[in-house]
Amino acid sequence: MNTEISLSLNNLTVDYPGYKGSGTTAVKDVSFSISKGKVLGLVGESGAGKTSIARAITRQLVEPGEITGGEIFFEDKDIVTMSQKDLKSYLGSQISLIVPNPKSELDPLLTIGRQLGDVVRTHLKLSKSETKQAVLDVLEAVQIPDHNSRFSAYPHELSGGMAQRVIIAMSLICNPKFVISDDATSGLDVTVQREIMKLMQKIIKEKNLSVLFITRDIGLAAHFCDHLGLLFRGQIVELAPINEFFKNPIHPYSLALLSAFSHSAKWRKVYSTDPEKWSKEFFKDGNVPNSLIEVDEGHLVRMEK
Amino acid sequence: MALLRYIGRRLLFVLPQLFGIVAVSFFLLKMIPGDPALLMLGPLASQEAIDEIRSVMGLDKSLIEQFIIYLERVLSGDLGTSWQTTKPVMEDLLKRFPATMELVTLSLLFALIIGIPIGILASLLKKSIINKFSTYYGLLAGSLPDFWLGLIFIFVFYTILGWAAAPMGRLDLGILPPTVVSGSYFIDSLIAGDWETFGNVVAHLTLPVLTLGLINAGPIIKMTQSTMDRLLESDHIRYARSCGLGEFQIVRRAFRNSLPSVLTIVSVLYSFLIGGAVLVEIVFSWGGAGQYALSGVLNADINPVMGFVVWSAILCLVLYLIVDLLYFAIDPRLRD
Ligand SMILES: Nc1ncnc2c1ncn2[C@@H]1O[C@H](COP(=O)(O)OP(=O)(O)O)[C@@H](O)[C@H]1O
Ligand SMILES: [Mg+2]
Repeated sequence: MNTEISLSLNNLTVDYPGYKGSGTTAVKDVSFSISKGKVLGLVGESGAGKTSIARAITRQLVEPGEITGGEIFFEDKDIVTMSQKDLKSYLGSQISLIVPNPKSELDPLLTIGRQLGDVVRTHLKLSKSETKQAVLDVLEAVQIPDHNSRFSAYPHELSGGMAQRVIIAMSLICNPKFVISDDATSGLDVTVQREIMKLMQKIIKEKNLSVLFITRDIGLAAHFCDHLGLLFRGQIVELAPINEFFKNPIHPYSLALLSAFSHSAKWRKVYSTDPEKWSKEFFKDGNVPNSLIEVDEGHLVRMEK
Repeated sequence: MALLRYIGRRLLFVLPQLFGIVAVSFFLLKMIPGDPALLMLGPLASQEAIDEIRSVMGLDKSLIEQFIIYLERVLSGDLGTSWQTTKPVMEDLLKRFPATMELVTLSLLFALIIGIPIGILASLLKKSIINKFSTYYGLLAGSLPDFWLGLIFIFVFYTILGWAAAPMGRLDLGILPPTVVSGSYFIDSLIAGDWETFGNVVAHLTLPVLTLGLINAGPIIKMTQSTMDRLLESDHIRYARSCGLGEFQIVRRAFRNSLPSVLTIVSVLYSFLIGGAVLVEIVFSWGGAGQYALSGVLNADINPVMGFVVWSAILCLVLYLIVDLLYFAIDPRLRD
C-alpha cells in the first residue's frame, strides 16, 4: 500500500434496501484515493450520494443503508471490516467529520465546552484542566470570539455560523489526519459561508490535513481542492486534477454543471454542451456506462471505450 | 430570573384554576340525586327532623348561596364535616392523603426503577429477549386491572405462602403509628429511628407497591423505549457516534434527552393515581384518600368528596409546578 495515500475507496457500493427487494443503490462502485495533505472535492447535485459516501467512510449510514461492496482504506486498514472498537478509536481522533446543519448535530442539553471535552477525553488521556485548556485552545483556533464565555454556552445560544465553527473545532480537537467535510456551509449566509471557507482553508494548510471536501457548489470546490470528482447518481462520471478538470472537461454532465455555474456568457459558451455530446458514448438508455476511461494522466471519464 | 418570572406567572394562575375546579365539582356533585338529610336520618325520620337537618346543613338555601358559603369556609381552611365519620374533613384528609401519597410515590419509584432500565435495554438490544419481553409486558400491564393483580398477590403471597403481611391497612393492629411528622409512616418511622415499626410499615407496603408499581411500569417502559429509539437515531447522537464517543456516553446522552418525556408520563401517572389508586386502596384496606372520597360519593356525603377534590387539585398543581421546574433543570432551551 502506498504510504502517501491517506484514504482510498475501492469500488464502494452503498445500498438502501427497501421492502420486497425494491431498494436504492445510492453509491455504486466508487473509487478514488486522497494523498496525504491533499484535498479531493466531491461535487454532485442533491441526491447524488455524497452524504452516503461520507457516512459510509465513518460507518454511520442511516438505516437501512449498508455498505454492500468495496473497501475503504485509511492508511492501510480497511474501515469496512474493522471491529467496532477499532473504528471508535479512529473516529473523532484520526478521521473526523464536519456535518451540515450544525445546530441539530450538537446535543441541545450540553454545553459546547462539555461536548468538546467529551471528545477529547474519549481519545486522549488528559487531566481535567488540560482538557479544558485544549477546548479553549481549539475554540480560539476556529476564531470563536469571546471563547471563554462560549465555553459554557448551549448550542441554541449560537448562531448558525458559530455552531459551524464549533463543529469544525470538534473535528480538529484531537488533531486528526483526515477530515471529511460534508456540505459544511450549505445552511449558512453567503458572507458567513465565505468566512468559514477561509477558516477551513487556513486550517487545512496549517495542519497539512487530507480532506474529502463534499459540496454541491463546483465554484467552491474550484478554490479549494487539488482534485475534483463529479458524482452523478451514485457514480463518479469524471475525476481529474483541478486544473485539468477546468481546462479540459469531457463528460457532458461536467460541462452542463460548469456552464450552469459560470457567471459570464463567455464562460458559459466555453463550457456549453453540444447536444451531440450527450450521446450514447456517455449515456446508455439514460444510464452511464460501466467503464471509466483514463483519458490523460489522472483524468478519468465514464464513457464507452 | 426567567425562572422566577415563570414561577410568578404560574402562581398567578393557581387561584383561578382552583376556583374553576371547585366550582365545577361543586355543581356537578349537587346534580347527583340523593338527599343527605334523608340518608343520615333513615327512612323512618319525621319531616320536621329532616327539615331541621336540612336547614342546619344549609340545604334549604339556593345553590349559589350554598356555593358562596362553601367557598367562604374553604378559604378559612374549613372543609366541613363528614357526617359518616362525624369528624372535620380537613382532619380526616390530613391522615388519609399521606397514606395515599406514600403508596403512590413509592409505587411510581418502583415502577421507574424497573421501567427505565428495561426500556433502555429494550431500545438498545433490538433483537433481544428483553425487547420482546418489553412488548408483551406493555400489553399485559395495559390490560390487567390493578386491583385484580392485587387480589392475586394477596391470594398467593398472603393466603397460600404466608409471606406477606395481612392486607389490612398500613400497620399491624398491635403496633402504634410513629409520631406524625410528614404523615407518611415510611418516613416518620425512619425519622423516629424505630426499626420495628419501619419493618412493619415496609411489610405492609410491599404488596400494594408491587401491584401498582408493576402495572404502572408498563407505560414507563413504553415511553422510555420509544423515546430512546427516536433519540438513538437522531442527528446529534449519530454525530456523537461519528466523533467516536463510547457506547456508555452515547446512551447517557440519549437518556438525558429522553428525560423530559419520561417525566411527562410520570407526572400524568402521578396525578392520575392520586385518585386512581382507589381500587388498590380498597383491596388492601389502605384507608387512603381515594377510598374516603369514594365512600363519600356512595353516601351523598358531599364534604369529603369536595375536600378530596380541593386537596387533589392543589397537589396536582404543586406536582405540575415541580415537574415544570425539573423540565427547566433538564433543558437549557427553556431557560431563556
Ligand atoms: N435513509 C435513507 N433511506 C432510503 N434511501 C436513502 C436514505 N438516505 C439516502 N437515500 C438514497 O440515497 C440517495 C443519495 O442520498 P445522499 O447520500 O443523501 O445524497 P446527497 O448527500 O448527495 O444529497 C438518495 O437519492 C436516496 O434515494
Ligand atoms: Mg448530503
